[in-house]
Amino acid sequence: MPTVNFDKNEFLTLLGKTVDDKILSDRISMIGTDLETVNPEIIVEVFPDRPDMLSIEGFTNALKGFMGISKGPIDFKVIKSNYEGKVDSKVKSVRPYAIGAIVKGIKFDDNTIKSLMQIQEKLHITHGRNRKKVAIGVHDLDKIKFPIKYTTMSRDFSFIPLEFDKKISIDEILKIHPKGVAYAHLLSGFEECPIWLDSNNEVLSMPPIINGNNTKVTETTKNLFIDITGTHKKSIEYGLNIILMGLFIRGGEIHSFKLNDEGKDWIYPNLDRETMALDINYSNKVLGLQINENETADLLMKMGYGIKSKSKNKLIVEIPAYRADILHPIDLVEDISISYGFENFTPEIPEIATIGQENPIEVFIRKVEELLVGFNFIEVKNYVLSNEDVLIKKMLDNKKNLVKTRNAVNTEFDTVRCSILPLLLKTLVNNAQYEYPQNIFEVGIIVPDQSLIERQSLACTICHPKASFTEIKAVFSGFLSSFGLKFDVKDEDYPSFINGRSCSIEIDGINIGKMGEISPEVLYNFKLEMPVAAFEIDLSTIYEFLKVRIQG
Amino acid sequence: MNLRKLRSEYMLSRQEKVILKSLGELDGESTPSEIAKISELPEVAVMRTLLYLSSKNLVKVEEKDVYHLILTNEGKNSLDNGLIEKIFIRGIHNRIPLNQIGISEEEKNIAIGMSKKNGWINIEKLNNSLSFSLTDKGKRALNENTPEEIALENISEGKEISNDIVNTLIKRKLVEKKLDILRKVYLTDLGKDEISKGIEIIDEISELTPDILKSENWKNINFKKFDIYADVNVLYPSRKHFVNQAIEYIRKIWLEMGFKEMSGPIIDTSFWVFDALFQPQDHPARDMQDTFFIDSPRFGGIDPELSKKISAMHEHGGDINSNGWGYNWDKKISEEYVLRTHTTSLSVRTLSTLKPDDLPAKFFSVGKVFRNEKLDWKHLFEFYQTDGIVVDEDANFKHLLGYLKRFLNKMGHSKIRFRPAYFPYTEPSIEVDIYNKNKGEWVELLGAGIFRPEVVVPLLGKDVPVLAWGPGFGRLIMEYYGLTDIRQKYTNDIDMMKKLPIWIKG
Repeated sequence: MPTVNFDKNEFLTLLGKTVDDKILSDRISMIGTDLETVNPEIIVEVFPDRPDMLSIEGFTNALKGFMGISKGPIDFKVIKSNYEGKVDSKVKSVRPYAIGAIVKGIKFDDNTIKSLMQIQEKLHITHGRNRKKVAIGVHDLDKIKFPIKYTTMSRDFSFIPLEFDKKISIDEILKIHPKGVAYAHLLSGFEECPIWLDSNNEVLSMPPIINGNNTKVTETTKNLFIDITGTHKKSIEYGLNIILMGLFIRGGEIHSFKLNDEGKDWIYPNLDRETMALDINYSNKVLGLQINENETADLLMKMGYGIKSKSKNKLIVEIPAYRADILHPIDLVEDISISYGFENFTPEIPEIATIGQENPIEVFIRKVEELLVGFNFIEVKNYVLSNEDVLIKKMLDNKKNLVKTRNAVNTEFDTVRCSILPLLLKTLVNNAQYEYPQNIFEVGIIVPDQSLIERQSLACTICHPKASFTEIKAVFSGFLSSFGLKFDVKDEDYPSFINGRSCSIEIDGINIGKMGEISPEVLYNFKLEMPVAAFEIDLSTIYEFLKVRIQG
Repeated sequence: MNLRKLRSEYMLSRQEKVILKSLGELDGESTPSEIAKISELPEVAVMRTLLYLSSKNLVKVEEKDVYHLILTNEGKNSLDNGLIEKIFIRGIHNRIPLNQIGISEEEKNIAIGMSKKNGWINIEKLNNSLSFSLTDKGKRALNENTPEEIALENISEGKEISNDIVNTLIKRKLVEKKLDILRKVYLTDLGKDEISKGIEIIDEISELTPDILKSENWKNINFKKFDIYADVNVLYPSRKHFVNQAIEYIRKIWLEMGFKEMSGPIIDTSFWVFDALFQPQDHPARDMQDTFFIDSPRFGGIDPELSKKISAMHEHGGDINSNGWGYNWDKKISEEYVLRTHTTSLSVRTLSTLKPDDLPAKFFSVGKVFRNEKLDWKHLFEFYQTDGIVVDEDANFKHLLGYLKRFLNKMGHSKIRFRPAYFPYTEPSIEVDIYNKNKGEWVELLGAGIFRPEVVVPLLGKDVPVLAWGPGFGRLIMEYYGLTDIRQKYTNDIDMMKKLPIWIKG
């Protein structure tokens, strides 16, 4: 989630009211942003569903309503004008969507410039998915000769990019210009790159990388052209509207821009409010409230919505053009709940007659744990993720088909464990400074191979100077007989155990695990200087024998 | 008077009784060495026991600093061979040359001085050298002991001598003073009282053995008193892992509220972890840096029917009044295997199995979830989460708050705050904060909400309110056990785990 910093004085000026810090903290938290602090500046994390609150103007606008200072939506005015442009069909396979807007009469003071830069950057990162989905360019309108064109140019085409004083080719920009280097991957694989050109063939921008130097915004700029391109049409429209909201609040005049795209003329920006019907019964049912359409309308107006019409139990709600998050009436319901105030809902527990029930294998696991604690074994817990060296190599195992992750940050933990025993040996090494005997166990999930079948496994070790097969067999026998089960052992050698001192274990001819004295070479690999006898068994299999009895 | 004093006063050990009795026989006044002789106990043991008796006010031990004199090496020499002035006049009497008398040059000067002072010798000057001759007094002195010599003899025999001569002897480094503590032991009135009641001395044993029990000898013996205040090597019982103790309690909270347990795989397709939860495929949470992707097998199968419905929901809102996300949903992306990033995957899996007859229904799970993060004191790459869902036609937002409040109250938090939040799959969405008294601030704890219709309808077939939550509880466990480093949960330090108090809530 993006963190944004707002100057408090500017915020209060835009809010038009003085508010003390405590109330401010509470209101900012309760509108649905993660507040870090209000002093000396306001620092909040804005949730990704509200990109309109990333600018100080949008943030203040939302709070103004929520705090009861204003009500209802912003009434945008768009002045009709003759600015025109065209989208070339060549862009459709590269970066298919582009729109633009004109804003005049901006008083370009520091705050406005700062705010415009901040919203542009934040939108790029979040809403624009690091410019991939949405990228924005801001230009000095008076340096552009209309009509303009959004097209593509080959990579040897050259122009002067921002921060440069001579023409260089697109290829060079992508190699040497800092922005080119940072975002070149977004154009990789395309022979031609997107370009906005004016009637003098001057470059406005090369989305989503860099603007041309010609239309650079300076302190004397008064009129702006905003270009916005991307891979998702709705998203660039919302992006544009969010920027325009800020400039409009700052006193900018929005002028129309006619753009021909796929043989059709479109007028931008489109700041009309779409409507959505809201059934009051639905809203009340979800929230557990009983409020009528008038009260509901009021709550929505506080959140900046318009109400087109009102009838018994029904509202036609107007959605501000910068609200990108309203997909379904449930989104209106959420805003009603926020407007109503989370603190005003009384928590209730309904009487729903349902019967609690544990997963029966969890019952079995709990009994397993209790028995082993009764044997004076201590339960340990290791991570489910481990690595091949511990799981296989140190154990002298030849197992294949381990389940590995492909992008683990910690290479020490990049493999899903196929067994718990190696992790117990590691645990014993880490406790070598304490007195013996050390008898430990662990129950947990393992994923033995790439069939991805998950099993509950139990591993148990005894570790002291005289730890032996006889002792572990005694423990195992007592353990299993506690469940009323009988087992057979089968002479079997495993690389991890001493030859002739290990066995496989079966119940009714079904293999459930193995047991034995750990081979000195394995102990050496783990750097453990104390004998260990161990067993590891598959609880998921044993559970099958007990299932009927556990479920009663 | 405290209990400790009372008890020890009226319980005397065998040794204490023996010594008390001996002191009685010595008329209530004696010294430790005398008591040792009578009681046939070593003096050290007597001393120690006397201290116990004295702490019980049965005897009084008086200590006096006393000095006694002992001979120095020089003093011992003088006692055997005479003082140096005697050796000197003896040499003159026997006409032994001065350098062969057997005293040093330095001693010779002292000897001359002393002999002259005593009036034993005449000194004449002849040819620049001194010539000595004995006076009558000197001749008499040859066969008499000087007062110093008598004093040395008396000191060696432990007899008293006069103070004047002591100073002389000390000055001449023939004797020195030694400090000694003289102890006198008296019976107190309480002690006398005890003796007058009669002291019965019975054999004491330190261990009760099967033999003693068999022979019924225990009737004739007493047990040696143990110092019950002494420190011992503490023994700690084995126990379940402390995290599991907490999990057991959390399971109980849900079970008591009538929730049924759900379970499912830790390795799951993105379909169940993300897509079924209406998370758009370009959502940042699905990025490589947050999610562990499985290397092999890389893709898993998904139900074609369900996948069609989910796809429609993402692209255009399916057949409900939603706009969807408005993008082209890619089946391949949803087939990718991941380590589940939340157990909410189990909640949606469960929803997909429910039939209309199963409602109302409440489910919970407790399970591991995975985040591809660096391991440090406040981040783990795997941790537990407890998910819950309530599927009920009549469920509403207030109920959601009610369940969460109950859960947190049971976990020991009474001051909580509900705050709006955002999750792609719930609406409304809640963040729950608990109040940290020490810091005086709200601390973010868990997320919850009501599943969006876009989540519920494809899985359940109709739009029923589904209250849902998925709190991690790592912070609550750390707080309970007073841990400061989150990695301690998996360090498996046997010593630490044994000494940690158990999870007492239940």
